[in-house]
Amino acid sequence: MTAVSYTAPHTLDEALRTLADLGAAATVVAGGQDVLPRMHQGLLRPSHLLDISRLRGLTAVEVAGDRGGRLHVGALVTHAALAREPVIRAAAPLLAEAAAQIGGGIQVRNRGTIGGAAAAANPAYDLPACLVALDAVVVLAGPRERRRVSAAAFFSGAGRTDCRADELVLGFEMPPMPPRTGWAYAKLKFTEGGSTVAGAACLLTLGPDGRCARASVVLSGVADRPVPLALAAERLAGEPVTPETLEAAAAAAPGAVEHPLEDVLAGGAYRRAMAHVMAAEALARAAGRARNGGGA
Amino acid sequence: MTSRVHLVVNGTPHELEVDPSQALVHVLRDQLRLTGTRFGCLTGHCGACTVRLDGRAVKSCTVLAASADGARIETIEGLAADGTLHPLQRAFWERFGFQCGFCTPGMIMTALEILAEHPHPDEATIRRLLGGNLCRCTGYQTIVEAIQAASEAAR
Repeated sequence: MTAVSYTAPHTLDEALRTLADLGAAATVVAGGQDVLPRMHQGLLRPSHLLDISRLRGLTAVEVAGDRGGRLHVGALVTHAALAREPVIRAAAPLLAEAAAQIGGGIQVRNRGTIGGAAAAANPAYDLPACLVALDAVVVLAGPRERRRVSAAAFFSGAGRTDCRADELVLGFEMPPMPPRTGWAYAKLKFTEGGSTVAGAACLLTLGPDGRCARASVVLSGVADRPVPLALAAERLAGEPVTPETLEAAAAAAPGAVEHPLEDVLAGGAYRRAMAHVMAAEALARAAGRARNGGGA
Repeated sequence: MTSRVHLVVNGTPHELEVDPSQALVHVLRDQLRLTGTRFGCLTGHCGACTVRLDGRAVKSCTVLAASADGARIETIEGLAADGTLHPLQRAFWERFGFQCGFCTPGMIMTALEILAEHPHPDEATIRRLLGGNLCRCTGYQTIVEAIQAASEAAR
């Protein structure tokens, strides 16, 4: 076995210098919930482990008054923290609801981080679709500059993102939820601890007239990256929110999944069908919450 | 290259040299000979390697030992005090909350956190929060009963 080197810097500058020197030869690890299982399975053979779990300032969760009430979530915030933080539950309850459903048990939620879930871009992970549904921006730090990429553009395939080899994910920014916005994350898994077979993240905003002002539905677990249902959003915009209009929107799901995942859990046709069911469930729950005043 | 780590395990401080790619479970078992913590799948699924790290349940096969530097670790060996079983251990014993016993340490270490967060959980809550621990004997019924019995005993 080749010797693995390891550093656990306390400052972002040190971490970025290591990345600038080693680039793709460095494996970034934080909570370890993605990296360690892949190491044990021989899917990942790091030569250098860059442990960013000691970096300061990446566990913050705050609503910035000076930036129009945008929510900032640091990359090292754990799934358990997302699920219980009052600030998250108030400003982005979709994230809290999805984080509480992440498989593998409380142990995985205690260690796994939102930054890791995004950077790993595993199609079975739940948070990427939520970040896209929330119109989140991914904040990246590189050797020369920081840049912001929309979550929709960040995820480019299974295990592939827009994050370059010399960059780190610092955190995420999300616009405040408008009033009368409901949310839901619906997920199909075969066991409590199991992996996502199909999921749907949804935000639905009602206008003052009670009609749908805006809807956003994004599928998880069914393709190599989150799948936004543009047609569902179109079908609902300006329409009254009824079982019929919600169903018409959810029916956009199967057709939006061009290349469904096929694996030991489920075939492509089944995933397409379940995408429809999950989209319908997420839309119905989000609409119900919006009618009850939503989270804002 | 090795990393020097300082761990406080069941109240005892240790200075250890670890391979940086080594998981905490291997350091606990091979260096400290605390073999009550099991390694089952090494993929984060089974939960047999669950320990508490700074008070939180974690799967020690998914934690780098180097990353745990400075942490307080609790394993199954640390629960009994002066030969007296911890109430959860006693409940698992009395309710037959194990068959082959392989998953038991992980079940109990997870149950500690379940009861810390939900002192009197209903059955559905226990089953949901045990989702990260697998019993290959499928003896879940008595495991759930044991955790409920331990919560009742604490009333």
